[in-house]
Amino acid sequence: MAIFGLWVINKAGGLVYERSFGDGLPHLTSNEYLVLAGTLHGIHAITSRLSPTGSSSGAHVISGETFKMNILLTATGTKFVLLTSLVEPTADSMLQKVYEIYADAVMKNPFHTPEMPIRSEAFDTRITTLLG
Amino acid sequence: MTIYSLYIYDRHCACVYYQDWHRTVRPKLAVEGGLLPAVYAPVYPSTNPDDASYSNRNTLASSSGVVVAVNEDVPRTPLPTQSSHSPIAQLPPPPTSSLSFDEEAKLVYGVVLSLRNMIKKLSGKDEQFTNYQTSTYKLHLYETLSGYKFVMLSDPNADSLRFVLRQIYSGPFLEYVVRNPLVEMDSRERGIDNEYFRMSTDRLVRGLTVFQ
Amino acid sequence: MSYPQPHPRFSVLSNSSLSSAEHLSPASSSRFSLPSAPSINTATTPKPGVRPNIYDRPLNKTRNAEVSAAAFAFMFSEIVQYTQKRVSGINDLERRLNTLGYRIGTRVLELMAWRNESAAKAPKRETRFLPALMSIHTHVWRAVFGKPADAIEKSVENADEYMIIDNDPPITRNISVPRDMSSLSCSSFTAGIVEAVLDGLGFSARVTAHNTPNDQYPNRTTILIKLEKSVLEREEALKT
Repeated sequence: MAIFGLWVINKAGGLVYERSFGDGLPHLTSNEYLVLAGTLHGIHAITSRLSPTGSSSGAHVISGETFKMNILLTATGTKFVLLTSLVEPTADSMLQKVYEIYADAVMKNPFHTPEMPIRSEAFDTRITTLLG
Repeated sequence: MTIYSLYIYDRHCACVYYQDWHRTVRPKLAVEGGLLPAVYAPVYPSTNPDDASYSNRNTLASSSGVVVAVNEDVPRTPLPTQSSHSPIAQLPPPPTSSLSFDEEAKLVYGVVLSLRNMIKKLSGKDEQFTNYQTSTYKLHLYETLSGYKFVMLSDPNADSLRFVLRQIYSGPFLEYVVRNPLVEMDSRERGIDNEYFRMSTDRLVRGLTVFQ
Repeated sequence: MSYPQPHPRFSVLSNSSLSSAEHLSPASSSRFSLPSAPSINTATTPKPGVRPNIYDRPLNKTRNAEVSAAAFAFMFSEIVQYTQKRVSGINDLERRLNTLGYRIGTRVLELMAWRNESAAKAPKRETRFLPALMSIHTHVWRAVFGKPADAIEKSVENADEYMIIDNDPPITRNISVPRDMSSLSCSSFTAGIVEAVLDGLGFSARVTAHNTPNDQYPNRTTILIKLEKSVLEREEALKT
């Protein structure tokens, strides 16, 4: 039961927000995160084409041996990725709450430019309160 | 709960084996030169008679002497996938994948390799990517020390199936591929398909509780 | 509304348009009773059970007269972005937001006076400053934001300065001002509303908004009212 990180990826595959929590996973440079987010964006699109039984969503959960990546794709193409420990039953509801905070603190903020990196103190604060 | 398909890749990124079960979207014929021979006959664009006879001879030779037992086995564990799919042209018009089989195999490999690297990068140590899940399927990976990658697609709600992939590796694969002198392992020219391996893998998978 | 519609809810419109309807010739007002009129009407009359749209609801009913906070937040965000593109600095931006708020304030005062008249037994107009300020703190805030403001303060240094304090202004709740513009307060819009109400009541003042965060309320905002000299002199004269 632990949360390691949160990414927000815009609809073009660019990483617009990255936060790491705790020391569960090593901290990479922002450039490395950018590359990983871009890769994930591409993989996500491919995974929906590999379905053996007709149309499919992209990957929801990607698991390693000690952690997993939970992915929420919104109707507008923004992806929220939550890195958690393998047993984290609240990951989906957390992602919904993050989406809600994003809608409030980012999209309603006149000083945010859509698709650009998120620099909103209110978003930071509320994410810290939620995921700490 | 069910199992859809199995892909095996060698360390040269080539798909060397494929088998499927409850797959409703059929794979499309591979394009010429896109796929090694002896991976999965129904999707191999076999126009060359020499090639076909060679692959026959290979499977026959490798199983010579035990053929009787195999034939007895066949009715008991019917292989609808194999028998009904081999003449692929006669299939009723099923939904066919928009991807040709060789493209599909490459995409699966690409996804698996990228995710494997991503998980390694994120974990900072030699952690393995194990599986991912979408709304309609779950993909499992087991990688051997020798670089063979076993990839299985199952029902999205299935538990981890790495142990099954390991069983395939330590059972049928060792028995009928590694110990089979007529399989050219690591050849970069041929797959590892042979009747024994296909059948015993089939039996193993059909015997699983997740397979229904 | 150039074409008078025979509508029972006509009375909710302001007095001016009512009187303009009376100025119409008898012939045109008799059209109200023409049999063909109801057929025009049926198209616009809402079906029973369906809530009338916001324009058709009575003005003096405050219950349910609310708009979606999310819809407003998006619109306010656009207003700020639109304004920001057309100004040269923070002061200019605040001034423009103030002007926009002023337009709302004049209407709010009008509406409140009208509601007060129909609701209270002895409607009255505030002529002294402090009761007027109290009324802004409570009634204007409740009409505009759905809650009273949190405090009123009087400046100790300057006799002409008063402050209305809101711990969490609803209109700026979703706004994060970038660091390089940290002195900007989008509550200038609210300041405009207050300025208009005060102006309408005859208390000319300069009203500005300032961020005054504390640990508990990071969005705490102070609306600073600087009264004009003439107002103070009048207050002094009325004291006796």
